[in-house]
Amino acid sequence: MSIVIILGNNKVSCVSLTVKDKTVNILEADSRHVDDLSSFLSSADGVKSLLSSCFGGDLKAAAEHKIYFAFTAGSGLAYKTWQAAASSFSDVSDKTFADKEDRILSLCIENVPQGFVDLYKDCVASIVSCYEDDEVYTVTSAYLPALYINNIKEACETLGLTLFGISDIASSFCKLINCSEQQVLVRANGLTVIVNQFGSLVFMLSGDYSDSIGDIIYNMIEHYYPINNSRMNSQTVSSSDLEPFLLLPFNGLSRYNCEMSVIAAGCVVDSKMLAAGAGNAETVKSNPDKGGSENSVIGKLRKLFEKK
Amino acid sequence: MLSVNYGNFLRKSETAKAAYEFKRPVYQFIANTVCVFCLAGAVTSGLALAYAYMATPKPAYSQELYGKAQSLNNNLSRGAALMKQGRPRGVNAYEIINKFANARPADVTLTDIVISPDQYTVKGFTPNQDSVNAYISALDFGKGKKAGVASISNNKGTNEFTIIVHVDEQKAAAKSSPQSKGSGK
Repeated sequence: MSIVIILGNNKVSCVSLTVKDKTVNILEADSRHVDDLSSFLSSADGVKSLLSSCFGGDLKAAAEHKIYFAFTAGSGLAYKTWQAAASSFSDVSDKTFADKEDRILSLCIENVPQGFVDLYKDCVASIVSCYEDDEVYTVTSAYLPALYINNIKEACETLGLTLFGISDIASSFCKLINCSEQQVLVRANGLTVIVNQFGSLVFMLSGDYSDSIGDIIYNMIEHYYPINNSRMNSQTVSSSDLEPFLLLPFNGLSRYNCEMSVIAAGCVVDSKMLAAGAGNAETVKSNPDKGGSENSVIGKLRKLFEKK
Repeated sequence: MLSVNYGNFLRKSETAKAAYEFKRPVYQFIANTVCVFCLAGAVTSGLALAYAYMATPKPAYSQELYGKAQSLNNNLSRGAALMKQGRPRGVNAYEIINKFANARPADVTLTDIVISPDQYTVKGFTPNQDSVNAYISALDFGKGKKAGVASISNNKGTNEFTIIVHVDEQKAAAKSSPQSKGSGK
């Protein structure tokens, strides 16, 4: 079982779920109001007390599960979509995966949103999506204060919890929303996420969504991605009605908050599993005469040889 | 695809470490099981070896009898060696005894062997008279040495016989002609 703690605008949600046989099972979800979330996240003790309240003091039981954190709008999260030359993302001197990771994340930090560093001294970046052109890469990255990340790590280590990931709302949507046929514009509380086959764009919107804002968003999409007339092939959906657009079936989605469930599932679901599922579906579709479901021995062997 | 942990603020190494830490009890259990299995195997093998070593019965014998047997064996070996080497009056006694013994049918029992430069005499008994003939035929001492039955008598179903091998045929003919039976000594 995995437990995802979703940190929002002075709101903390705790979702328990499992992912089995490519189905997400939401077991439990609970939300509570927190007066000043940033004060909790600003110290390791604050995070500890937050975790204690989430697990009802039973931290031993929580230690047996995978723990994830997910940030949503209003929790200190920021996004930016930026472009850089493809050559700047790699260098011959980068020998290890860590070297490459360092280079890319330092590029993200160079492109931190203006004003974010004024609020927080240091920040940590994560890549939500990346569209790789021949010459230019278009990257959407998320930013969080380094203080929050360090405190979460420290608190989890002190309490003996296994921290598997710290994610964000847009990454979860990108991972789980099926955008192969159309672009999906998800309107969540405090932000709008656009997911298409090339990548994503995130707009932190505190006010109501209007047509003029929509124009700006669609223009931005056409600016960053090779899409013409993006408004025509776009579907706008609320984060509470995401079920028809999801790549995986969810059990118990109707009982719990849809947005919370999708964010939690996005943290837990392995992107390799989604890619493998899509690959197999494609293979079966394009080669109906060859037969063999993804679980059959022949299907597995074919997959193995295709990889090689 | 960039070399980063997509959608995660933790580095790839950190998530890998977390995955390892999460599964560590399982790895530990497997490692401990293998260790216990190997240790148990080693202990069991050691115990089995020790038991096999301890359970081997020690030979039980009397020191007095052992000494006697050893001295007898030494004497026999020495006697056999002497017999092999000794040639009293040009007679190879060892070879002659060997031939008498090797030619003997299974149901023939020898009781006495006398060897002299002129003749070799062997006494014995057998339940079957044909065995005496077979024994005579099997005795081959070479040219000029002819074996013959000196006497044979039946005593309660047992045929006692005396065979003489004459070294010089002419002398043998002269000696054997006056009597059909004789001790041959």
